[in-house]
Formats: sequence, C-alpha cells, structure tokens
Amino acid sequence: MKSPLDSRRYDPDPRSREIEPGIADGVYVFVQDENGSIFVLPDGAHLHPKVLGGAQPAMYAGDLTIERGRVQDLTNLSGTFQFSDAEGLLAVASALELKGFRIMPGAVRLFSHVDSSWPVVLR
Amino acid sequence: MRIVILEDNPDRRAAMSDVLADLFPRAVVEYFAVARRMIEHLDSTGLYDVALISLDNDLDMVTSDDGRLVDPGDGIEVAKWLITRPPVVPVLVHTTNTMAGDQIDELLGSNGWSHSRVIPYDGESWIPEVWRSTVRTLIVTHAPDATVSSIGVTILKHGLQFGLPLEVMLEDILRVGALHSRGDEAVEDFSFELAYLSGSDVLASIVSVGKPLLADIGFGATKEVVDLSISCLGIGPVASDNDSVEPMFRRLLVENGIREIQFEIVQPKPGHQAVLLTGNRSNQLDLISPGIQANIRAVKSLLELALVIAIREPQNDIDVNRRSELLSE
Repeated sequence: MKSPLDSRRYDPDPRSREIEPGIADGVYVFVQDENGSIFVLPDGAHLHPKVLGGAQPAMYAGDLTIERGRVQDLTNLSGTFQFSDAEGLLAVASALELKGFRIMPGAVRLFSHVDSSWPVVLR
Repeated sequence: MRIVILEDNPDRRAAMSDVLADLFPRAVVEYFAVARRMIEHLDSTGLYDVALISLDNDLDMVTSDDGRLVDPGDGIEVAKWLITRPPVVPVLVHTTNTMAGDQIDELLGSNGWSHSRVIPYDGESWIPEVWRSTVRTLIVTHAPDATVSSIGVTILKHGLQFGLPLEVMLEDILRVGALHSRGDEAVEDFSFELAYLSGSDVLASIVSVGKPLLADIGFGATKEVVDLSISCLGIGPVASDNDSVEPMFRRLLVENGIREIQFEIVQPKPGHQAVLLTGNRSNQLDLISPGIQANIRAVKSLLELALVIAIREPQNDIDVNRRSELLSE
C-alpha cells in the first residue's frame, strides 16, 4: 500500500466508481483500493487523489484506455502515487480480466519513475 | 525519453511543465523559442529517444545578443525538416493559426508521421484540459518497448564489436520485435520481414522471421507491391480482405491465410530504401494494438540505425548480390 504524494484530504470525486464491463470507451485514471477493487474516473489532470479521496493509500494506481470494451492500454502513470513495480500492474491486469475485460496484446506498459527510459511492455 | 516543444510563451510553458511533471515526472522536457535552434538540436541529438514533439507555429521575434530582432521561424519550418527524417516520433500541433496547422498536418500526414492537433483556447486552460490527454495518448500509444529497444541496441553494439554480418544483426533485431509482439516463442503466424528493392524493381527478401511473407505471396514481387501499400493501403495495418487492396494481391494474401499486413518504409537516407513487412495469420492478435504498433516502430528505428551504419561502413553494406555469400559465412 502506498499513500498519495499529495496528502491533502480531498473529497472523493462524485463520478468515481468501481470499474465494470460496459463502461464507456475512453481514457480513465484508476486507483486500486486496499480490497483490490479498481475505481476509475474519466481522465483529467491531477485526479488520482480524488478517486478514493481522503488521502487514502492505494494498492496500485495508473491509467487505462477502454476501446470497444477492451483494454487498449494499461499503465502505472500517476504522478500522485508513482507505483513502479511490474507485479502490481500485472495484478491489476489480472483483476480486470476476472471482471471480464479483454486485455489487448502489448497493452500493459510500465513507465519508469526512476529515470527517463522507454516503458517496458509487460504483456 | 524526451519531450521536445516549440513554444515561446512563458505562461504556456509553465502550464505544460506542470502537466508533464504530474504525467511523466521523469521525462526530459526541452523547450525552444526559435525553430532553427530546435532543428539544430534535434539534428545533433537524433530522434530515437524522443517520445513526443509538440509544435506551436507563430513565434514572437527574438532579440539577438547584439540587440537585433531575429526572425524565430515557425512550426512549419520544423515540420519541413522532420519530413526529411524517418517518421519515428508522434507530433502534436498546438496552434490557433488554422492555415499553418493545416499545412503542418498535410506535411506530416503525407510523409507517414503520426500527428494530432489541439487548438488553444481560454488562456492556458486548454493545456490541462485537452493538450494533456492528447500528449498522454500519443506517448502511451507510440513509445517503443524498452525491452525491444535495449536488446536491439545491444545486438547492434555486439554485432559491430565482433564484426558480425549485418544480415545476422538485422535478423536478430526482427526476431526480438516478433517475439515481443507475439508474446511467446511461437512466431510462425506472425512474420517480420525486411526486403529491398533490387535494381530491377524486384522486391527481394533479405531476412525474415516467422513464416516468410514474400515467399508465400510470390517471391520476386515487384515494386508495385510497395507502391500499392502506399497509395492504396496507406500507413498502418490493413485487413487482407480490405476492398482497397488490389484484387490480385488480396487473393494472394487470403489464400495464404494472412489476415492482416503492414508495410513500413525503412529509409535511412534518400536513395536507400527497404521495406519492413509485418504479416499476421493469427486470430488471437490484432496488428493495430498499441503494443504491436510500438514494437513495429521500435524495430523500424533499429533497422534504420543499422542501415545508417551499413551505409557509413561500406564493408558491412548489404548488397542483394552478396546475400548468398553472407548467409554462407
């Protein structure tokens, strides 16, 4: 679990909800809570701390793109949480598959929070 | 990973920096207020570690060291320079100058560059609202796989160090891309192939990974195949049963179980042209997926780099006539 770098206790954004199949196409920021549930908000600047709100810690965070119901990309991009472990991102991918989402080949991309190298495609 | 931006407005720069610090905190961000300086910088540092270029068009005059006003050039000038290079970086055009934006789009689009456009509005509001999301999508979609890039560079370094035939290096680079795109070691249904136009306008296969494409669709295919890819198929993957594919070519693809095909022109410099063919026979894969597209671009960049080295070092040059000689070594 990791606490947000921005520790202000924001109210949760009212649009925040657990991801489910049938969600509209688009880019979303996501935060996985301590129970493993994945909550999303339509993409926007500095939204990660408002997904769960209250400066709650997260199991993982990043963003993803849904296109025709499929996960086109899934990343660890979050300036607020900056998760860098591949296992956590792969676990998010598996959790999404359990929910019924198809993960496209090459979609899971781990960006470095250590240096400016290219992302690693995990699967 | 660098992000290179032509933008002279300090407020816009500050807003862009805020957005990028949150989105890609480790990316190196480089700003330029003069088109020529940006071109000189990119010319000396190369494009292979650039994740995104963002271009404004109209720039304010700048004052030189001796107090003279100097014309800073514009985004069109940068676009004209970019199209003399391999299209390996996505470009985001952010200008309120509609005519100039259209011209840049036309220049980039007709030369195979991936590009998007955002139109500024309301001070700097557009930067977190629309520029940010476009930057995110372009970089996530286009950034090559670090694994493919780093292994490919290692292959090149070792190959040069030990004097391996360039053909061997090229095949290894293709293999890395194919394996990563396929996701496992069974690449039979996913082909990467590098081909050259020989002097007689015959498309000759140099190296390939997976089940060869050219051998199946007719070894000795002519330059028309390449021309078709550009005029009819365009840039990017195409379903083999697409109506825009020339009927004879379509029949050959379908007969050989090729579901999708993609041609990429690998052109390290004018007059030196090769073709990277990607073919997909699998029902489990879609060439259009961001990961595969990123790998194709990574492999293409590495091939271009290898061919630049070959051109500079004639002893390593690939001549179609030397193909059998190289293979027998």
